[in-house]
Amino acid sequence: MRSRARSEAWLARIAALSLALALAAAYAVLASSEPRRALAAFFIGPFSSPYTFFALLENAGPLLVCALGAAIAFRSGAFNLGGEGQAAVGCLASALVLRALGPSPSLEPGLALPLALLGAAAAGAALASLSAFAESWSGAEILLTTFLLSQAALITVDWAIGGPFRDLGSNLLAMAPLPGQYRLPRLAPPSPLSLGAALALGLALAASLFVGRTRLGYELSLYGRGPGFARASGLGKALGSGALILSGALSGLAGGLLVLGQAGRAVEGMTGGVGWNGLAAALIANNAPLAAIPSALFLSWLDAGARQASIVSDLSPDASTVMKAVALLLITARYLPGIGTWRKRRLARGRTGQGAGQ
Amino acid sequence: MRHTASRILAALALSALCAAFAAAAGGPRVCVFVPGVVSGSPIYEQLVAGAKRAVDESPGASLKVVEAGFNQAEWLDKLSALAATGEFSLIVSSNPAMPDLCRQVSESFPAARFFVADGWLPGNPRIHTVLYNQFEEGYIVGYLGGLVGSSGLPGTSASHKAGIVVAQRYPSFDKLIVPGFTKGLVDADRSASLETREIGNWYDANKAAELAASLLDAGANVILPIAGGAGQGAINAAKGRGKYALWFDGDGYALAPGTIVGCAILRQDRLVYERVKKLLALGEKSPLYGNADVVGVKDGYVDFDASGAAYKALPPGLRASFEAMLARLRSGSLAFPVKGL
Repeated sequence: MRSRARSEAWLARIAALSLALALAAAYAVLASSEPRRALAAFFIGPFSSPYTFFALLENAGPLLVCALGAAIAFRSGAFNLGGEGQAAVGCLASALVLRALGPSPSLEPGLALPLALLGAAAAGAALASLSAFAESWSGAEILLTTFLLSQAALITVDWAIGGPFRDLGSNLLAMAPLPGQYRLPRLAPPSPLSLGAALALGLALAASLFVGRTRLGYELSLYGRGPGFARASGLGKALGSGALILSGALSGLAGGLLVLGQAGRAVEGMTGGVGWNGLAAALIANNAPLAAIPSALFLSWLDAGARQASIVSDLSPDASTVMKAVALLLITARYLPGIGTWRKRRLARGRTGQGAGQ
Repeated sequence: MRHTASRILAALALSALCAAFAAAAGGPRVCVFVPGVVSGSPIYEQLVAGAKRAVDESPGASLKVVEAGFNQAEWLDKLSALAATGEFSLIVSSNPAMPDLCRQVSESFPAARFFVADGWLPGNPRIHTVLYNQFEEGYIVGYLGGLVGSSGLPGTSASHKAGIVVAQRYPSFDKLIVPGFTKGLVDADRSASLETREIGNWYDANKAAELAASLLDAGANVILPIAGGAGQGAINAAKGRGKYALWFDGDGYALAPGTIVGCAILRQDRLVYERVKKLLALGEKSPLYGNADVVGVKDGYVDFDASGAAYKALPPGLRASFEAMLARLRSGSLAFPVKGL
C-alpha cells in the first residue's frame, strides 16, 4: 500500500515535469519567431557539444548542494527558506578566506581550498543558527526568520562585495579575481566543469547514506514527521536545530563552490537564485537526496536550454524562469489536480470496498 | 508511444542539424553581446544599429543580438556559452568590463574574435578595443556646468558647486570622467567645485533621486547622472528643485525638457559600423586585432548635441563661450590626449 502510494506520488511528479516541458515547448513556439530552431536549441542544445553538457553539469553542482541542504531541513520539519542568503554569505566567506591568505599562497592549494569551503559552510551554518536560536529562545517561526535573515544577508553581502571589499581596478562590482591556484581544478577544459560537481555528487551519496542508513538520519526524519512523538521518545529539539544548521552549512558550501568555480571571484548577485532553485529541486525530489541529483540536473537543463535557445534563436533567456515556475507550481500544488482526485477516488473506493467486505 | 517519442527526437535532431548546416553555409555571422538590455539604453541601441548597418552592407553576413541582462555575475558564463557555439565569426560588445571577460573567454576559445567599443585592452591578438576619450567628454559637460553654475540663471546660487551621481565607480570614471569634468568646471569657473555620490547599482532611480537631492540641497547648481536607468531619478530631483542637469553618452534632452541643458554624445553607431565593416572585410587576419585605439572629439566620435531647447535658451554670451571651447576641441587646438587606462 505504502509503496503504491509512493509510486503514485512519483508518477504525479513525472507527469508534472512532463507537463511543464510541454508548456515550455508551447511557450517557445509562441514566444519565438523561429520556433523550430528555438525548440531544437532548447531541448538538444545543452547536449550538442561537450562544452554545453559539462557546463550543465557544473551549474547543477551548487544547485544540488543547496537542494541537499533544503531536503535535510525539510525532512526534519524545519522549513529553511534562507538558502539564497546562506549561499551568499558562503560566497563572501570563501572569497574572504582566500583574500586573507594573500596572492602568493602561504598554504598549499590542497589546504587552502578546503579551508575556503569550510569558511563558506561555517558562514552559512552561522546564519542558519540565528534562526535556530530564535526558534528555541522565543519560538520564532523558522520559515519567517530564515527568509528575513536571508534577505538581510543578500543586501549585506552585495554591499560588502560592491563596497569595502570591491576591487577598484575592476569594471565589475566584484572582489579581486582569485589566483589560479585557488580555483577548483577543472576536469574537462575548456569547459567549466570542475571538482565542485564531483564534490556535489559525493555529498548527495553521503546525504543519502546519512538519512537512510544512520540512526541520526532516522531520528531526524522521525522528528520531522512527528515532533511531539519524537520528543516523547526522548529525542531532543536540538535535533531540528542541528538539521537547520547543517542545511545552512550546505547552502553556504554551495556559495563557496560558485566562487571557486568558473567565476573565480565573488561578484555582486552571483548566487543568482541558486538557493531558491535548490529549494525547488528538493521539492521535486520529495526530499530524497539521491533523487535530488536528477532534479538538480533537470533544473540546470532548463537554464542551459533557455540560454542555448536565446543564443541561436530569439527566445528570451528568461524563458527558463517561466518554465521552472510552471514545474514548481504543478508539483507544489499537490501534483496534478486530476491525479490527486483520481488517487482520492481510488482510496475512497478501496475504503468502501473494505467496508463492504466487512 | 515509444515510436512517437523517437520521431519527435529525430525531428528535433534533424532541425538542429539543418540549423547548423544553414549557419555553416552562409557568410560571416556577427553576434552583438549586450551586457544589459538594449531597450532604453541609447548606447546599446547605437551598438546594435552600427553592427546591423555593417552587416547589411557585408554580402552574406548575418547578425544575432544576445542580451545578457543586468546581473554582472552571469556575463562570463553567457559569453563563454556564446563563444562555445563556434557559430560566430565576430562577437561585438560595448562596456569597459567586457575586454577582460573577452580575454578570459578567448583563452578557452582561441578561434573566437572580439571587438569591444568603450573598452581598453591592448596586445591581445584576438581582441580589438576602442576607448572613447572620456576625459574630453567629461570636460565638455564640466565646462558647460561651470558656465551655467556661475551664470546667475534662475535656480542657481553663488555656491559654485556641481555634482555627479554615478551608478558605480569604475576605472574610466575615476581616471577620465571625473578629472575631465573637474578640469572643464574649473576652466569655466575658477571657484567651482565638484562632489560625487555613488548609488551602488544601475537601476535604483529612488536612491539616485535621494543622492541627487542631497547634492542639490547642499548647493549644487547643476548635476550630472552617470547611472543608466537610475539616472532618471537624479534628473527628477533637479527638475523638482528648479535646478539644472547635464547628460552623458547620448541625447537626453527629451527626458526633462527645460532641465537638461546639455548632452555630451558618443557616436557609437558610427564607430561600430566602421570597425565591424573593416573587421568583416579582412576576417580574422585583420590587423585591427591586438590594437587598442583611443578616439575623441577631434576624431568625431565624442561630441556635444546642441539641439536641445534648454540649451538654445541659455544666454547667448554663455553659449558663445561654450561653443568657442567646443570649436577648439573639434579642431584639435585644445586636446587632452589619453593613452589608455
